Amino acid sequence: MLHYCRLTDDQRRVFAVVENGHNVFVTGQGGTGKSFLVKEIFRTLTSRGIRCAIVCASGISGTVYNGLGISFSTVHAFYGQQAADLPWKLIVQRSTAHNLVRERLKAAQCIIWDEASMSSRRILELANYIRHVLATEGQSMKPFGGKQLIVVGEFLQLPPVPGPFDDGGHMFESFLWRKVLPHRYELISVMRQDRSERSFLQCLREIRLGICTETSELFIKGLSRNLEGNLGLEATHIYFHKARVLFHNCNVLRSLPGEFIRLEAIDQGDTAGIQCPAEKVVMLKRGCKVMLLWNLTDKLRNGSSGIFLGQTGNELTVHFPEFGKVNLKRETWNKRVETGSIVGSRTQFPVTAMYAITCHKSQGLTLPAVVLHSSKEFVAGLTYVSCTRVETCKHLQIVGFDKSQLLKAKEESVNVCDGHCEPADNTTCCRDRLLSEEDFTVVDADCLL
Amino acid sequence: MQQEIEKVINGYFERGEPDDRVLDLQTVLALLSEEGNETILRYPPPDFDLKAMLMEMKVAEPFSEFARKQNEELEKLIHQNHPTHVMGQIMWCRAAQIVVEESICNPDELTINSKQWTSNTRELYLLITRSSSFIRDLQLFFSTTALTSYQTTIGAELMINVYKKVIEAATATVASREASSPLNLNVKEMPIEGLAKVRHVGAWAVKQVLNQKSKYAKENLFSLNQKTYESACDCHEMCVLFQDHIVDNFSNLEKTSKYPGTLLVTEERQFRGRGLTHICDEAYVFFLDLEALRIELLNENKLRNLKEDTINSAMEAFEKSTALLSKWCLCFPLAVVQHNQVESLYNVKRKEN
Repeated sequence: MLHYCRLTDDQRRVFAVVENGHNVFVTGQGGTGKSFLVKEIFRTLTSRGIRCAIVCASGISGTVYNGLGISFSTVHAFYGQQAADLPWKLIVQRSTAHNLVRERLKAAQCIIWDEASMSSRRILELANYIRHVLATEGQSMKPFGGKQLIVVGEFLQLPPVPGPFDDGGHMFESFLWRKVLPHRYELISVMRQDRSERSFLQCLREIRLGICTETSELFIKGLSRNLEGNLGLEATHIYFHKARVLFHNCNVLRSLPGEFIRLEAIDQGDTAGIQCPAEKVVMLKRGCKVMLLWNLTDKLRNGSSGIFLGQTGNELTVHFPEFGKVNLKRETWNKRVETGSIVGSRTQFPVTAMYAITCHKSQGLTLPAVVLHSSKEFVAGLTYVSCTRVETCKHLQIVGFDKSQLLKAKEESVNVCDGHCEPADNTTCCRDRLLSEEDFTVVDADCLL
Repeated sequence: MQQEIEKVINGYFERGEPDDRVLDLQTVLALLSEEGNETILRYPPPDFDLKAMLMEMKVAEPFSEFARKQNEELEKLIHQNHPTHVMGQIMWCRAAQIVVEESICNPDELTINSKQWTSNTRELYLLITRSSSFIRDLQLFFSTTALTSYQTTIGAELMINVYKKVIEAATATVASREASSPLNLNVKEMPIEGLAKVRHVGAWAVKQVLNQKSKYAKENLFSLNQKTYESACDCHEMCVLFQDHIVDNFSNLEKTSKYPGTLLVTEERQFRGRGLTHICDEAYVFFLDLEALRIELLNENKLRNLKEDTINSAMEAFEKSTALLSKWCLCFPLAVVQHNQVESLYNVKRKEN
């Protein structure tokens, strides 16, 4: 209750429902205090002896909870799904046979699922099924084994990336959504008080829907100025297309002194179309800025940035500001077919130059400064996600913006809170609701065809 | 093939029992010619000469009794006053009947070449020699009701040869019809399905260029050769222009396009995992005009006249077309057009050649 008074009315309303043990879904644009609310919920429930786990779609998106004594893990790691690139039954078998996963899932009484827009429909269904298998007696027919589920996210961001078994559908497209998360809240009140920030947030409110009034257009055009001081040098450039990122990084690397270090991947079998963030050839120079593409430890995650120091034999040395020098080995990404068998693999150092990144890669990151190279959106939300990587508009430069580049957001994503039901006196409306046998399944992408 | 032959055989034998009327060859020919099919295959070409075919069938140095007897029969047909000309026409009509009426109905549908049709001569032999009509024709030809084995062998071999000639003529006719048929297609007045295909092909072409250029750009991004690096940069610039101004999103086009009906084919044929292949309206209009020009330039007559220069000539006409260039420029904003980048994109294929 210590922090309760700091919450806005919107947040208090959600907080009260959570306190009563209900499952909830919370959404709201950047600046409305979703992460703040999560922290408050975590602290309060933990102080009451309720074991909470915070899970995020990507490792790097959980760094917002760093330094607060809050441990978090990726959804994939938490549920033992690994890359989830197998048919769903095999994933469930593998996951539920893992002692660590069993212990972890049994221990957690409340799961806070953050950045939910980055997790797909299939991942939600898989998590529910795994929890169903591991549920204690009398709890197995309840969603998530009767554990409390708090889902936080904004579906106007980019949709999940499709995979071999995953159609990339949003979580709210799952048959489980309505039954598991009937209480849905949108945080409206903006927590930031600075006037220019309020204009920025107003502008984001429009852009997230794919619209832009003249006022917002003028505001964005005003952001085409250069960033102040060192921010310009520190800024990460965001592009929508990967090729533009490669060219930007190449041009910066060419301008740096020193020789290129060429790191060639070891490809085996059929690697055509392999879903792998590591390029076949990675070119770096000593002293260049790099990004990690692999979750190495709980704190050194896919998306962490550092400085490349050099190569010694089969290892690369990278200096990460918070962890010092770290030696990186090659990692392997596999390509699987429908049966789950591996048909090809790429083994490469999990790093890439990081002067520029794609918008998709930036989702979930909070960056010190950003230069957005705006172009025509090929999926709704690109501009919005890019703009929301910084905490204030002072740290953002937008070049090449034209409002005709924006794509309208999907109505389903805008109206995700439609169908909200007020919580009942007990939790049989959500957490303790009994599901039917048919609800315990996972729809793999090929089954949808 | 076997299935086709069986179809032909069945068709030929299911005509019913031959009537008992005794007719002469002229009457048979007259009847066959009147059977309704106006196709050119009804009439042998002027250079068709049954006598010459009979001469070719003679065994030069006969060793067997059968060959000698067969040569004698052939001699009689060639040198005595036999109605070989009329018999030739009848055989032609019979063979045409097999080809046209029993198997393909419409010579325009004839896609099987003569080699395929005649490769299985056993079935063809059976087809011909078991036909009661054919036996009746031979009886008239040899003026006998009791045909000898030499006569039926000659008749069957002759019929097969005539049949091959008919097939040759049929394929030549189809080829000639296709080649000479005028192309009166007005591209812009095509039904919506056709227009949608033009848009799809345009989008496909854009995607091909995009893939090719981006692959080159990516592979040569770090080249130490300055010129290679510069071409990689050019390719990259080209991809950026295509992505920003030519490629568009379906959900956006669906709402804004002036030609929404043309979007469906492209949308249906998209591979979701491989990126976008829709093009904007301006690019569609450009491809529509390009298709009209292509139809005009690449017709069969021009191909005959210009032969191997046809493509070069068409490319020149394409490059010189200021109307098309204007349409192409309309796909891009003024700043890009003024920067001369668009014209270089317009001429890209030529440069590669």
